[in-house]
Amino acid sequence: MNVRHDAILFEFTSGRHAAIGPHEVAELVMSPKLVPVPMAPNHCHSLCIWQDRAIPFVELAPLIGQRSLENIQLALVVTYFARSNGEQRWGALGLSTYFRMVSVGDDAACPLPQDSSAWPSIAHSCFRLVDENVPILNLDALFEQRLALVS
Amino acid sequence: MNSASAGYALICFDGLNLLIDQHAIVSLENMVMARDEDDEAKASEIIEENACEVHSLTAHLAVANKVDARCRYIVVLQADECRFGITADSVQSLPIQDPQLHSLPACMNLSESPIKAYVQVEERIAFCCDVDTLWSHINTSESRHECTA
Repeated sequence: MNVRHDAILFEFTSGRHAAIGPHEVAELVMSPKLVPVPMAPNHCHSLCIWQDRAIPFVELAPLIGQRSLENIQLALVVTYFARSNGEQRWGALGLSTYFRMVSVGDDAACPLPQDSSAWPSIAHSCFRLVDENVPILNLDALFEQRLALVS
Repeated sequence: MNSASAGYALICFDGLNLLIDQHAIVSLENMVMARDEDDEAKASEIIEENACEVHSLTAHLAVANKVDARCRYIVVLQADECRFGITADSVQSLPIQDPQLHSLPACMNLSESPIKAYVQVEERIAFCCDVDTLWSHINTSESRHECTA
Protein backbone atom coordinates (compact mmCIF):
# COMPACT_ATOMS: atom_id res chain seq x y z
CA MET A 1 0.00 0.00 0.00
CA ASN A 2 1.41 3.36 -1.05
CA VAL A 3 0.75 5.69 1.90
CA ARG A 4 0.89 9.40 1.15
CA HIS A 5 2.15 12.13 3.50
CA ASP A 6 2.10 15.91 3.44
CA ALA A 7 5.42 17.73 3.40
CA ILE A 8 6.50 21.34 3.36
CA LEU A 9 8.68 21.91 0.31
CA PHE A 10 10.96 24.95 0.17
CA GLU A 11 13.62 26.26 -2.16
CA PHE A 12 16.85 27.15 -0.34
CA THR A 13 18.79 28.28 -3.37
CA SER A 14 17.95 28.56 -7.04
CA GLY A 15 16.42 25.29 -8.20
CA ARG A 16 17.26 23.32 -5.06
CA HIS A 17 14.69 22.14 -2.55
CA ALA A 18 14.43 20.44 0.82
CA ALA A 19 11.43 19.42 2.88
CA ILE A 20 10.22 19.23 6.47
CA GLY A 21 7.04 17.98 8.12
CA PRO A 22 4.01 20.33 8.34
CA HIS A 23 4.04 20.01 12.15
CA GLU A 24 7.57 21.48 12.20
CA VAL A 25 6.56 24.85 10.73
CA ALA A 26 6.11 27.71 13.19
CA GLU A 27 6.02 30.88 11.10
CA LEU A 28 7.20 32.40 7.84
CA VAL A 29 9.04 35.64 8.60
CA MET A 30 9.57 38.32 5.98
CA SER A 31 12.65 40.52 6.28
CA PRO A 32 13.98 38.63 9.31
CA LYS A 33 16.14 40.50 11.78
CA LEU A 34 19.52 38.76 11.71
CA VAL A 35 22.49 39.36 14.00
CA PRO A 36 25.78 37.99 12.63
CA VAL A 37 27.69 35.79 15.08
CA PRO A 38 31.47 36.27 14.99
CA MET A 39 33.41 33.22 13.77
CA ALA A 40 30.28 31.14 13.26
CA PRO A 41 30.27 28.65 10.36
CA ASN A 42 29.10 29.95 6.97
CA HIS A 43 25.89 27.95 6.98
CA CYS A 44 24.74 29.28 10.37
CA HIS A 45 26.26 32.72 10.48
CA SER A 46 23.54 34.59 12.36
CA LEU A 47 21.00 34.59 15.14
CA CYS A 48 17.46 35.45 14.09
CA ILE A 49 15.44 37.62 16.46
CA TRP A 50 11.96 36.11 16.58
CA GLN A 51 9.31 36.79 19.23
CA ASP A 52 11.98 38.19 21.58
CA ARG A 53 14.04 35.06 21.20
CA ALA A 54 17.38 34.71 19.48
CA ILE A 55 17.26 31.52 17.44
CA PRO A 56 19.87 30.03 15.11
CA PHE A 57 19.50 30.90 11.43
CA VAL A 58 20.69 28.23 9.00
CA GLU A 59 21.26 28.36 5.25
CA LEU A 60 21.56 25.08 3.40
CA ALA A 61 23.31 26.43 0.30
CA PRO A 62 26.81 26.65 1.90
CA LEU A 63 26.47 23.01 2.94
CA ILE A 64 26.45 21.97 -0.72
CA GLY A 65 29.19 24.37 -1.71
CA GLN A 66 26.93 27.11 -3.01
CA ARG A 67 26.85 30.77 -2.07
CA SER A 68 24.73 32.13 0.73
CA LEU A 69 21.64 34.06 -0.27
CA GLU A 70 22.67 37.59 -1.18
CA ASN A 71 19.56 39.22 0.16
CA ILE A 72 17.77 37.28 2.85
CA GLN A 73 14.09 38.18 2.59
CA LEU A 74 12.45 35.08 3.98
CA ALA A 75 13.06 32.92 7.01
CA LEU A 76 11.01 29.87 7.87
CA VAL A 77 10.86 29.47 11.64
CA VAL A 78 10.75 25.80 12.50
CA THR A 79 10.34 23.88 15.72
CA TYR A 80 11.64 20.53 16.89
CA PHE A 81 12.31 18.58 20.05
CA ALA A 82 15.95 18.24 21.02
CA ARG A 83 16.96 14.61 21.07
CA SER A 84 19.25 15.22 24.06
CA ASN A 85 16.56 16.29 26.54
CA GLY A 86 13.22 16.41 24.74
CA GLU A 87 13.07 20.20 25.04
CA GLN A 88 11.15 22.11 22.36
CA ARG A 89 13.40 24.41 20.39
CA TRP A 90 13.18 26.77 17.44
CA GLY A 91 15.40 27.60 14.52
CA ALA A 92 15.11 29.51 11.25
CA LEU A 93 15.85 28.38 7.71
CA GLY A 94 16.78 30.73 4.88
CA LEU A 95 14.37 30.49 1.91
CA SER A 96 14.80 31.90 -1.57
CA THR A 97 11.05 31.86 -2.23
CA TYR A 98 7.78 30.90 -0.53
CA PHE A 99 7.27 27.32 0.60
CA ARG A 100 4.43 25.07 -0.53
CA MET A 101 2.73 21.90 0.64
CA VAL A 102 3.18 18.72 -1.38
CA SER A 103 1.79 15.21 -1.02
CA VAL A 104 4.44 12.51 -1.20
CA GLY A 105 3.89 8.77 -1.58
CA ASP A 106 6.10 6.12 -0.04
CA ASP A 107 6.96 4.97 -3.54
CA ALA A 108 8.77 8.29 -4.14
CA ALA A 109 11.55 7.37 -1.69
CA CYS A 110 14.99 7.71 -3.25
CA PRO A 111 18.68 8.07 -2.29
CA LEU A 112 19.99 11.36 -0.89
CA PRO A 113 21.63 13.79 -3.31
CA GLN A 114 25.30 13.10 -3.88
CA ASP A 115 26.38 16.74 -4.01
CA SER A 116 27.33 16.99 -0.35
CA SER A 117 28.54 14.62 2.31
CA ALA A 118 26.53 16.72 4.79
CA TRP A 119 23.16 15.32 3.68
CA PRO A 120 23.40 11.98 5.53
CA SER A 121 24.10 13.97 8.72
CA ILE A 122 21.13 16.31 8.43
CA ALA A 123 18.43 14.40 6.52
CA HIS A 124 16.09 11.62 7.63
CA SER A 125 15.36 10.44 4.13
CA CYS A 126 14.66 11.67 0.63
CA PHE A 127 11.94 11.62 -2.03
CA ARG A 128 11.86 12.12 -5.76
CA LEU A 129 9.89 15.11 -7.05
CA VAL A 130 9.88 15.65 -10.81
CA ASP A 131 13.62 15.44 -11.57
CA GLU A 132 15.02 16.33 -8.16
CA ASN A 133 15.96 14.28 -5.11
CA VAL A 134 14.54 16.26 -2.17
CA PRO A 135 16.03 15.60 1.29
CA ILE A 136 13.69 15.56 4.31
CA LEU A 137 15.57 17.44 7.02
CA ASN A 138 16.38 16.18 10.49
CA LEU A 139 16.04 19.49 12.35
CA ASP A 140 17.57 18.20 15.57
CA ALA A 141 20.69 17.16 13.65
CA LEU A 142 20.77 20.40 11.68
CA PHE A 143 20.55 22.74 14.67
CA GLU A 144 22.04 20.67 17.47
CA GLN A 145 25.35 19.58 16.02
CA ARG A 146 28.39 21.14 14.45
CA LEU A 147 28.75 20.23 10.79
CA ALA A 148 31.86 20.06 8.69
CA LEU A 149 31.44 22.25 5.62
CA VAL A 150 32.21 19.78 2.88
CA SER A 151 30.67 19.83 -0.54
CA MET B 1 23.23 29.00 31.39
CA ASN B 2 23.67 30.83 34.71
CA SER B 3 23.27 34.53 35.01
CA ALA B 4 26.48 36.51 35.02
CA SER B 5 27.71 37.07 38.55
CA ALA B 6 30.63 39.32 37.68
CA GLY B 7 30.33 42.75 36.16
CA TYR B 8 30.58 43.03 32.41
CA ALA B 9 31.67 45.81 30.14
CA LEU B 10 29.90 46.31 26.84
CA ILE B 11 32.48 47.09 24.18
CA CYS B 12 31.34 48.11 20.71
CA PHE B 13 33.31 48.23 17.47
CA ASP B 14 32.52 47.70 13.79
CA GLY B 15 28.88 47.14 14.71
CA LEU B 16 29.72 44.28 17.08
CA ASN B 17 28.74 44.29 20.76
CA LEU B 18 31.16 42.35 22.95
CA LEU B 19 30.75 41.58 26.62
CA ILE B 20 33.98 41.30 28.55
CA ASP B 21 34.40 40.48 32.20
CA GLN B 22 35.40 43.72 33.90
CA HIS B 23 38.10 41.85 35.83
CA ALA B 24 39.93 41.35 32.55
CA ILE B 25 40.04 45.09 31.80
CA VAL B 26 43.27 46.74 32.84
CA SER B 27 42.59 50.24 31.63
CA LEU B 28 40.68 52.33 29.16
CA GLU B 29 42.78 54.71 27.09
CA ASN B 30 41.88 57.47 24.71
CA MET B 31 43.07 56.70 21.23
CA VAL B 32 46.50 58.21 20.70
CA MET B 33 47.75 57.35 17.30
CA ALA B 34 51.42 57.01 16.59
CA ARG B 35 51.86 57.40 12.88
CA ASP B 36 54.51 56.20 10.57
CA GLU B 37 56.19 58.03 7.74
CA ASP B 38 53.20 57.58 5.47
CA ASP B 39 50.95 59.06 8.08
CA GLU B 40 49.12 55.74 8.43
CA ALA B 41 48.31 54.08 11.69
CA LYS B 42 50.56 51.18 12.62
CA ALA B 43 49.04 47.83 13.43
CA SER B 44 50.71 47.72 16.80
CA GLU B 45 50.95 50.72 19.02
CA ILE B 46 52.57 51.30 22.33
CA ILE B 47 50.58 52.68 25.19
CA GLU B 48 53.06 54.43 27.44
CA GLU B 49 52.02 53.09 30.82
CA ASN B 50 50.85 49.67 29.67
CA ALA B 51 53.18 48.64 26.92
CA CYS B 52 51.27 46.19 24.78
CA GLU B 53 50.12 45.40 21.30
CA VAL B 54 46.97 47.10 20.10
CA HIS B 55 44.75 45.67 17.39
CA SER B 56 41.57 46.59 15.65
CA LEU B 57 39.12 43.77 15.08
CA THR B 58 36.32 43.48 12.57
CA ALA B 59 32.78 42.42 13.39
CA HIS B 60 33.88 38.87 12.53
CA LEU B 61 36.82 39.15 14.95
CA ALA B 62 39.32 39.17 12.12
CA VAL B 63 42.42 41.22 12.90
CA ALA B 64 42.80 44.30 10.74
CA ASN B 65 46.27 45.09 9.47
CA LYS B 66 45.92 48.66 10.68
CA VAL B 67 44.58 50.21 13.81
CA ASP B 68 41.26 51.85 13.10
CA ALA B 69 41.93 55.54 13.68
CA ARG B 70 38.21 56.27 13.82
CA CYS B 71 37.85 54.42 17.13
CA ARG B 72 37.82 56.59 20.22
CA TYR B 73 39.18 54.16 22.79
CA ILE B 74 41.71 51.46 23.42
CA VAL B 75 40.63 48.83 25.91
CA VAL B 76 43.65 47.19 27.53
CA LEU B 77 42.90 43.58 28.44
CA GLN B 78 44.69 41.06 30.62
CA ALA B 79 44.98 37.56 29.22
CA ASP B 80 46.73 34.73 31.02
CA GLU B 81 50.01 35.34 29.29
CA CYS B 82 50.04 39.00 28.43
CA ARG B 83 48.27 42.29 28.04
CA PHE B 84 46.90 43.53 24.77
CA GLY B 85 44.64 46.30 23.58
CA ILE B 86 41.68 46.42 21.22
CA THR B 87 40.17 49.54 19.75
CA ALA B 88 36.55 50.40 20.43
CA ASP B 89 33.94 52.96 19.45
CA SER B 90 32.29 52.87 22.85
CA VAL B 91 32.71 51.22 26.23
CA GLN B 92 30.12 51.10 28.97
CA SER B 93 28.98 48.98 31.88
CA LEU B 94 26.33 46.47 30.93
CA PRO B 95 23.10 48.44 31.33
CA ILE B 96 21.14 45.53 32.83
CA GLN B 97 21.49 43.72 36.15
CA ASP B 98 21.77 39.94 36.40
CA PRO B 99 21.99 39.40 32.66
CA GLN B 100 20.92 35.98 31.50
CA LEU B 101 23.70 34.35 29.54
CA HIS B 102 22.53 32.04 26.77
CA SER B 103 24.87 29.45 25.29
CA LEU B 104 25.37 29.78 21.56
CA PRO B 105 23.35 27.17 19.64
CA ALA B 106 25.38 24.00 19.16
CA CYS B 107 25.50 24.39 15.38
CA MET B 108 27.45 27.66 15.62
CA ASN B 109 29.61 26.91 18.64
CA LEU B 110 33.21 26.41 17.57
CA SER B 111 35.83 25.26 20.07
CA GLU B 112 38.41 27.78 18.86
CA SER B 113 36.03 30.74 19.07
CA PRO B 114 36.23 33.14 22.04
CA ILE B 115 32.44 33.56 21.73
CA LYS B 116 30.49 30.95 23.69
CA ALA B 117 27.41 32.81 24.86
CA TYR B 118 25.28 35.86 24.28
CA VAL B 119 23.05 38.24 26.17
CA GLN B 120 20.06 40.12 24.85
CA VAL B 121 20.52 43.78 25.75
CA GLU B 122 17.33 45.61 24.89
CA GLU B 123 17.18 45.45 21.10
CA ARG B 124 20.73 44.28 20.74
CA ILE B 125 22.63 41.02 21.06
CA ALA B 126 25.95 41.19 22.90
CA PHE B 127 28.41 38.32 22.67
CA CYS B 128 30.34 37.16 25.72
CA CYS B 129 34.00 37.02 24.88
CA ASP B 130 36.67 35.02 26.70
CA VAL B 131 39.80 37.17 26.79
CA ASP B 132 42.31 34.31 26.91
CA THR B 133 40.77 32.67 23.85
CA LEU B 134 40.53 36.03 22.12
CA TRP B 135 44.26 36.54 22.61
CA SER B 136 44.99 33.06 21.24
CA HIS B 137 42.78 33.87 18.26
CA ILE B 138 44.56 37.16 17.59
CA ASN B 139 47.89 35.38 17.75
CA THR B 140 47.05 32.86 15.09
CA SER B 141 48.21 34.00 11.72
CA GLU B 142 45.05 32.59 10.17
CA SER B 143 42.99 35.27 11.86
CA ARG B 144 44.94 38.11 10.30
CA HIS B 145 43.86 39.38 6.94
CA GLU B 146 44.36 42.31 4.66
CA CYS B 147 41.61 44.70 5.52
CA THR B 148 41.13 48.02 7.11
CA ALA B 149 38.65 47.89 9.97
